[in-house]
Amino acid sequence: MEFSVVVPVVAALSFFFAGLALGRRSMRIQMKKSQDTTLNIELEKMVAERTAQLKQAMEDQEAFAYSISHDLRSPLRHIDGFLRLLINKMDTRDEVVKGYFEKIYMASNRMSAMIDDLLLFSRLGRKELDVKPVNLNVLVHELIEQFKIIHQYREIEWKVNLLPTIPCDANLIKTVFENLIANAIKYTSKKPIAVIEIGARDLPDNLAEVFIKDNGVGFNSLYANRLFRVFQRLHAGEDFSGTGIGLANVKQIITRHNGKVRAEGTINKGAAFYLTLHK
Amino acid sequence: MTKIPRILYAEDSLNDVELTLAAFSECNLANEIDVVHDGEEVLDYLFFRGRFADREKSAPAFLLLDIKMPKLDGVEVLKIIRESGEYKSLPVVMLTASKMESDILKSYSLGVNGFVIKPIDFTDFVKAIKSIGFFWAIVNTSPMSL
Repeated sequence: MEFSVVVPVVAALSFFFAGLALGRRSMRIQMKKSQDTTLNIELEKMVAERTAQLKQAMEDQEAFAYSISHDLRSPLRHIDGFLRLLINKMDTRDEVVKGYFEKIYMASNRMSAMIDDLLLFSRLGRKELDVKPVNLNVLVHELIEQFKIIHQYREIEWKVNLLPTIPCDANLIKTVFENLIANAIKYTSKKPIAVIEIGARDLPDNLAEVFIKDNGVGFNSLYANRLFRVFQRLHAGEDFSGTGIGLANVKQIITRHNGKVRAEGTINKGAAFYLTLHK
Repeated sequence: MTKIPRILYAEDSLNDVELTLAAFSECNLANEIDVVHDGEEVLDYLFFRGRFADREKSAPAFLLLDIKMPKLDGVEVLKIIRESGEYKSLPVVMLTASKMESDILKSYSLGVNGFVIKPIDFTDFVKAIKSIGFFWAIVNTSPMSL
């Protein structure tokens, strides 16, 4: 089953709107030259039709993901329920039998977590953006303070440079940084001292690039693009927990802000994530 | 001695019926539970029609109603019940798998008495069913007994 349908649609839609703006400009020039308004009207009509089609396709995909998420819950509830009833009836002193029960139980829990993640992913794609200027310094420092409390027994060296103020949806961008920082903490857990660096630089065309680097297990850059797909993971679940939705959420949110995200990694040296956003 | 009223439970999934009855059995309720499997059967039961034509003339203590059912769904059933004379005050609790906001709002505007989303974790599911049974069959006084 193909679940990663929402991101391509969202990406396609933003690409489409960008093209629409360019198309309008070139049409105006054409109009002055030839006064040919018939073509213009035809084009506008086509654009309106395509926009409606895309919007409908997007709504269908959302409804699909939502319905799948809900309909998958019932059989899962039944597995969990009958498993518990079975355990009550059985002699579970046998360690092998106990191990099997444990595995079924863990698998059903994992699927439950994935369904919840899928629902969240689908909701993120639908949520209206509430764009306001957001000071990333404040946002990131607040997050780090929260993470410090959760991971008080870890040795983490934080290097946070000055970050820009960006027009964006504060809650969604918070989700982005939450995911990226949580990943940096998770994938440095096997290092005696974790070093996490967050910074930014200006790019031409009024863009800003924000990065998060760590010295964790890293990954092979060959697979960098796979990281952002739904439920795609580059590490075994036994080594690092998680379903593999976090970076898909990051990509979806950044794409909805007309931004870009990319990843670089070196095995056992660390990973770096770069966000390009409009200032 | 007054007769202990029965509980009417509408659910199309046999797995759900079995799990819910297993959970109810932990409540040690004195009430018997009658199970029906679609919206039409709920109405047949309540209005003594079809295979329930000869049913004993009594009203259930409460109706536990699934939403997604064949023929008539739970919300449609609730609407008919509320528009009827004899069951407009029957306590009805929705028990459903999905957290559809529109279902919650519609049910409450039609005068549902409770709306419970089936938890995935069986321990939580048993807790939810037990509290429904305990409250609506024991703690609560039903207008149907008057």
